[in-house]
Order: sequence, then C-alpha cells, then structure tokens
Amino acid sequence: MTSADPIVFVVDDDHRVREALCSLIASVGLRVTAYGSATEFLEAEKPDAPACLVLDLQLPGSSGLELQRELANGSGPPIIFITGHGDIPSSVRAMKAGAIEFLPKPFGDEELLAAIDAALALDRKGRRERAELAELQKHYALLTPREREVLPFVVAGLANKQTAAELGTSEITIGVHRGQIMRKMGARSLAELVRMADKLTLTRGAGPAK
Amino acid sequence: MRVLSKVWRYGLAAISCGLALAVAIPLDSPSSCFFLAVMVSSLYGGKGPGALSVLLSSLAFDYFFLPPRYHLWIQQSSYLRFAVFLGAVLLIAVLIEAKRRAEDARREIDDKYREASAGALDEARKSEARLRLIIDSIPAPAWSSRADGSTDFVNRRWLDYTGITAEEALGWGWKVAYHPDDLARNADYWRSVLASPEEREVEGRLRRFDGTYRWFLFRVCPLRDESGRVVQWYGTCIDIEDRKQAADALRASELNFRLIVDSIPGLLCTNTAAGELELVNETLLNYTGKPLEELKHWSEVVHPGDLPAVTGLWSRSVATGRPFNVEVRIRRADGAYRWFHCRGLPSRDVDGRIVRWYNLLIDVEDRINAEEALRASESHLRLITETIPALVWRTTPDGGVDYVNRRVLEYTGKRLEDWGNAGWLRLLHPDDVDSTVRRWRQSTETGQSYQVAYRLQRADGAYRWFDARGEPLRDSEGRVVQWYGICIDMEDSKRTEDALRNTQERLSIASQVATVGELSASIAHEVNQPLTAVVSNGNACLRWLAAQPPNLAKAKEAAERIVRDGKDAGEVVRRIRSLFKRAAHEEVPLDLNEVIVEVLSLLRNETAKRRVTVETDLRPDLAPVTGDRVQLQQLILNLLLNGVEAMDPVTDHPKRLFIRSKRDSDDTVLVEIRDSGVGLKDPETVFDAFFTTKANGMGMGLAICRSIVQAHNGRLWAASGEGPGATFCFTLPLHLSSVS
Repeated sequence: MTSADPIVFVVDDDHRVREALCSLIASVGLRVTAYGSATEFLEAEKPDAPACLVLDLQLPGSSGLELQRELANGSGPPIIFITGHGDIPSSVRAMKAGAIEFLPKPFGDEELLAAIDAALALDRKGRRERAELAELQKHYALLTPREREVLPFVVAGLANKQTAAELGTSEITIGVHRGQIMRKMGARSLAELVRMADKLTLTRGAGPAK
Repeated sequence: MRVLSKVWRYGLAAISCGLALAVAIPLDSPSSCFFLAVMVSSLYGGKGPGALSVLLSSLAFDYFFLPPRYHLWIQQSSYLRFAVFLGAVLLIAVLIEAKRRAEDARREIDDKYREASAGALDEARKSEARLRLIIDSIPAPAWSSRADGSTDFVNRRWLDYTGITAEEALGWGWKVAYHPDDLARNADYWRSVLASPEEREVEGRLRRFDGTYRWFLFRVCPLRDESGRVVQWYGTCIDIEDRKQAADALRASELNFRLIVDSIPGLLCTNTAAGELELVNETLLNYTGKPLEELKHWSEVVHPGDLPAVTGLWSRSVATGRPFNVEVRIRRADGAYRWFHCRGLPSRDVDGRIVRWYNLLIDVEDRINAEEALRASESHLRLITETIPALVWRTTPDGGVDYVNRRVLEYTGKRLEDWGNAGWLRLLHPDDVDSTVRRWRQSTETGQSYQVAYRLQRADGAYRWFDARGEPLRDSEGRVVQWYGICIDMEDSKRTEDALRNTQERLSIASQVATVGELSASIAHEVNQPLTAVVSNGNACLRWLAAQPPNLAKAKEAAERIVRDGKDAGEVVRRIRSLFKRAAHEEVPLDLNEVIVEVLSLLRNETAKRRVTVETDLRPDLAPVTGDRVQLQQLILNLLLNGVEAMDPVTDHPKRLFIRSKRDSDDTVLVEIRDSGVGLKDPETVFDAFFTTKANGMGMGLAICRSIVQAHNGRLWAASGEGPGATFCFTLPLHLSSVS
C-alpha cells in the first residue's frame, strides 16, 4: 500500500464496534484507521489519499452530525453513518447534509463494504474535481479586476459591442479583454470558457464560489 | 535568909509597937499610934508579925492607958474602950493582910503574865510572817486601808499586777491604777460605803503593769472595834475579766438570738411542758396584734374550723412528747386568717423529761394558694389527658412506662402494671416489634424524637394501626428527665394509605413500563452495539478465512471477539429483562454501587445522545443496604433520567451529571445525584404527584421515587445545590448484618 491508497476512517466510541469494523474492512484489503471520538479524528494527521469516514451517529461530546457539518465545507471525506437506533429525523438530516449511506446497526458486511466502495469512488471523483477547480481558480487568479468584470458578460453570450455599452467603454477594449481572458484561462473556445465559468460558478454580478 | 527575914519581920512588929508606945505615952494618944504600928507590922511583916503587933498593942494599951494604969486588970468601965481598940487593930491587921495577899497574888500573876506574853509575842511574829506570806500569795490582789479609806497596805500580788511600788500605792496613790471612768463612777459608791460601813462589793477596771485594764470585783470588809467603830478596811480584788467577757459574749449572743427570734419571718413561741404559752417573739405579737397575756388563750386566734384538730393534736403532743406538726389558719390583727405551718419540738432535760416546747409557725398561705391553683390546673390537665381521644403515656428516661391515660387501659384492657417493664411490647403485632424496639432504643439512647407506626392489640384481640410519637422532656442541663408520648389510632387512615399505596404501586409499575418504553431507543442501541460487533466480526472472520491464503490469526481474533461481544449482548438483555420484571417486593442485601453502575450502563446511550458527561464517586467499600433490586433500579433510573432531562434546555454550560454514594451514618447509606440543569424552584413540591415542569411529563416520576424510598424506610429529598442544577439525595438503611 502506498500513501495514495484509499483509506477508511472509523469513528465510534464503542471499542467493540471499532475492533469489529477495523477487522472487517481490513479483511478486504483496505487501509483502515479507527478513532474513539470526533475530536480525536479531527486532530489526527490524515494522509492525502481517497478516503471515506464510517461515523457513529451518537458520539459522546460531539455528535456524528456535528462532525459531518464541520467536515462538509472542507475537503472532508464522504461519510457513511452507522447508528444503533436510526430514527428518521436524524437520518434525514444526515442524508441532507450529504451522507453517502445511513446504516442501522447491525448491518451486513456487503452493505457496508458496498457503501465504502461507493464512498471511495465518490471521493476519488471529488478529489479529481477539486483538483480541476483548483487549476481553474489558479487561472482565474491571473485575471485583472477589469477582466473579471468582463468575463460574466462574455460567457453570457453578449457581443463585444453590447458589453462595451454595458460597461461604458469601447468595443475595441472589450475585444482586447476577451482575448486576454481566453488566453489566461487557457480556453480554446467560448464553449470551453462557458464551462469553466460554470465550474467556477461565476454568474453576472457575482464573484467566485463563496 | 528566910529565917532571918522572919526574925526581921517579927522584930519589925516589936519595934513598931515599942515606937508607938514611946510616942503614945508623951502624946497620950495611944490608939492612932498603935494603929500605925499594927499597919506597918502587917504591911511589911505579914500575918505573924501582924498578929504579934496586935497582941503587943493590946497589952500595951491595956497596961499603960486603961485605968487602972499600969495594971493588966481591966476595970469594968474600960471594957468597951478596950474592945473597940482590939476590934480596930484586929480589923486593921486583917485588912492589911488581905491587901498584902492581893498584892502578892497580883505580883505572881504579873510575873506569870510577863513570862507568857514574851512567848506569845514570839508566836505572833511568826504568825504575822505566815499571814503576810498568805496574803502575798493568795491569787488575788488585796489591800487594807484606814478608816478614812487611805491605804496602809497592798499585797505583793497587787503590786505585781499594777506594777506600782508599795510606796506609790499607799495613801491615795492606788488611785492611778484604777480606770478613770470607774473612779468617777464608783466615787459615790465609796462614799456610801464609808457612810454605812459593811461588807460590800463593786466591779471596776484595774490597770495592769502593761497598761491594759481588766475587770475586777472589789470586795471590801470593815474591821470594827468594841464600840463598833470602823478601824480598818480590808479588801480583795478578784479578776473577773474572763467571766465578764464570757458574760458579755453571752449577753451579745442572747441579744443576737433575740434579734433572730424577733426578726425571722416566722412566728415563734415557747410553751411549758404542760402546754402553756410562755414566750412569743415580736413577729407573733405584731401579727396577732395581741399582748402575750391575751395570747395565753391562743385558741382565740385559731380559725374555728381548725381548732378541734389543732387542740387535739397539741394535747396529744404534750401528752406523748411527739413533735407537733399541723397546718392551721391564724387570725391576723386585721381579722384575716392566713394559713400557717406549725411545727413544735420539745426540749428535754438530761433525764429526758420535757422542759419546754419550741414552736415555729411559718406563713404558707401563698404556698397553699399556689398548691391549690396547681392542683386545679393539674386536675384540669389530667382531665384533658384522660379524655383526649388518643393513647397518652409517659416513661422514665430509660424507657420504663410510669403513666398511661385511661384510654390506654380501656383500649388494651390491661392495667398500668402490665405496661411497665416493656410489657407493652407484648401488645404489639409480632411483625412490628423489631422495628419499634429499634426506634425506641435509638430515641432513648440519643434523645431524638421518637416516631413509629405499629399495630397495637385491642382488648378484643384485634390489631389496629397506631402512629406513636414521643418527645423527651429535658432539664436545664439538657438531660432527659421524662418521655411524653401519644399514640393515635390511624387504622382507618392506614387503610386508605394502603389503598393509595396499592394504587401507587400499580402506577409505579405503569410508570416503570413507560420509563422502559422511553428508553426503548437506548435499549435498542445497547443491544445493537454488541450485535453489530458480533455481525461485523462474523463477517470479518469469514472473509479472513476465505482469503487466499486464509488469514487464520485474524479470523481467530475476530471469532474471539464474537464470543466476547455475544456475552455482552446477553448481559444487556438480562439487565433489560430485570427492568421489566414484576416481582413481589423483596428485601435482600444489595450493593447500591452495583445497581448504580447497571442503571448507568442502560443510560449510557441516553446521556451520550444528550451530550451529558457522567461523573461518579462511588465509595468502593460501601456496606450493603436492604432493598428490592428492581425498585431501587427504577428509583435510580428515574432520578438519573430526571437529571438528564433537566439539563435539556442547557446550552451555556456543560451538562454534567454527578453521582456519589457514601456511608451517611452508622446505619444508613447516602446516594447523591447532582445535575447542572435548570434547578428547582421549590425543592419540596417536586415530589408531589402530578408535579411536572416537562411538557409531556406525567408528574409521577419523583412521587414514585419517594414512595419507593419510604417503602425502604429511607428518606428522599431535593435541594437546589451550589451553582446551577439540582441535587437529589436519598438514604437507605443498611442491611442488618452491616449495622455495627
């Protein structure tokens, strides 16, 4: 196994469950690390590899859902919730917040392993997308403020003349800006630029992702 | 010599006659000359010569002078003349002889006297010396003085005593030794003594050589001559200082006694042995307002109602000598009667005969009034205690029953004697004896209030429930002097209470089921945790076995975990079952810590879900208590859940649940459950049924808790503790085997 090999994190306060899950996950050849609490997990050094989190919904100190909320914004791994008593409101909240799976205890090995597979696949995809987006943002960072102003008009399909009228400048200047934008962003066509802008969720009058 | 003297004496007679004749012849006066001769002869010669001269004179007279002269013959006419002559000379001779004899005798006597007086003088001198010795050594100063009172003698003792020399003392010098006051005072006396001299005595102070004055009795005695005139005074001084001091002391003492007698706030009188009033004190006179004479008829001042009894007793005492002791009303000067306690004691002489009666009368009017008031109050109180509809009792500090009211006797059909000596325990229901004895002993040993409920047998044999309470009466030093108690029939209320308890018990079971229902999610979690582990370990085991090559070590580890977790699951199930179990209330020795740990394990999920931190301080050597396991589980579960739920609204500080167990006293264990929740407004009402602060609560949880604790003879209370939250505590009695 290398550091890039996928890894499964298990967070459960019950050592019996932790031991059992570690053994099960390890038996299919996956890397696995277990933690007794959310804090322990958050404070631990984690490898830069595709990962997923098997999380007990009821944790002492901080609940699984709170941990989920904390992880949601960053590059947190997909989460598979396990729970001793899967009440509907918590499962709904979990799923809404982006949980991959919600498994009531006790669960079958296939269910868990399938969920782990799906989660790892999702994380791989997510990591790829995050890498692409980072690339785009790097390009976007090269744009001057004026160019960032022009970009939404371009991707909205406005002609240079219209854009110039909107921004109160000359058509020629807009043409220069458009050429600069295309070059800096590395877009080969307007269609590609539109897709890039989409990924950066740039719309007219709004900045990049908040 | 003698012969010569005789010759000479006779010669003298003859010569004198011759001379007389010689003279007479010339003178012719014979008779007077012969008378002289006879006188001389008789005077100097004696009887013989006298007679001779008579003879010679007669012959001469006859011969020479009678006619016929010179003739012895006598003429008849001369007979008378011769006879007269003869008679005259004879008479002269006889007379002279008589005188001479008398003189001889006198001389002889004089000689003898002279001899005798020489011896007597010597004797007197010796006697005087002896007398002086006596006078000087008699143990009293003595003196003598002349008729006018000037001293002519003082004895040695006097000089020694006064320290004055004899020269100084004589005459009037003795006055310096007398006390000036006495000199002045006694001057009149001395004058009277001198005026009418007789034996007298007077007291006065005589100065001693060291300057101190001592009292003396001066006794003076006059010496008189034949005519009765005082020629000398003799006096002695007898030291009476000590006697005088004793007498003064006695007088002072008597005065003192008199003062005491007159000033004591009691009436005093003495009576003769025959019973007659003799002396009374001032107080008695003032009180009765009568003089002693009238008081002799003392029956007039005695209340007529008391008179027969008093006179009877008095006569009997006087007759027998037995002390006189009576309470009697005596009339005061203003006519009012007051009660007196009269005590009389006889004093006896050495032979045991009664000399006098001493009687003391003390005013007891106020005491008697107070006693009567007290008696009235007592009878009033007694009426109350006898008639109130409860059993009233009293015991000595060590628990011996010494009073029960009539209701007790009526109810039990026993006598007071049957109650004493712990006899009342035999009237208790056998099941209640132990607990009652324990409580009673505890109360009598510690002095704490006594309260117990027991069944007491009625006269007809039926048992009825009583609520017995006792309070100690203490003296000023805090020692218990008496226990007062009351037993109230509560059979009817007990029945109601029993009915209520049955209902409560049913409700308790319902609540128990409800609690368990509430916990179903937690229970499911408790079961699911080990099950999850079992299933996952099972799957892992299979996969390790199925691997190529199979990983037997890992598979074995997984299988071992299966076994372990499976047992865990079984244990969880057992605990849950016990929560549902409905068994009869049974009292067994229980380790409260074990029960707490069990309940905590059931709650673990609940506390985790609500983010409650549980802390424990369970004393490891906790002695077992007596109780019903299921009920105590429920009690602790309810209290813990209550605390957990009380912390639901808390957001600003950590939710903390703290459980502590410890030995509380010699015979109880204390469990304390503290939360950091919203706290309690009124720690007492929380135990009332249907009291709740929760939107969906029934308000039975804590009420049930209290009834469980009470059924275990324990105590449950709540307090708003320090900081946020509430504290619930309960105590349970130790199992009997652990009570030291």
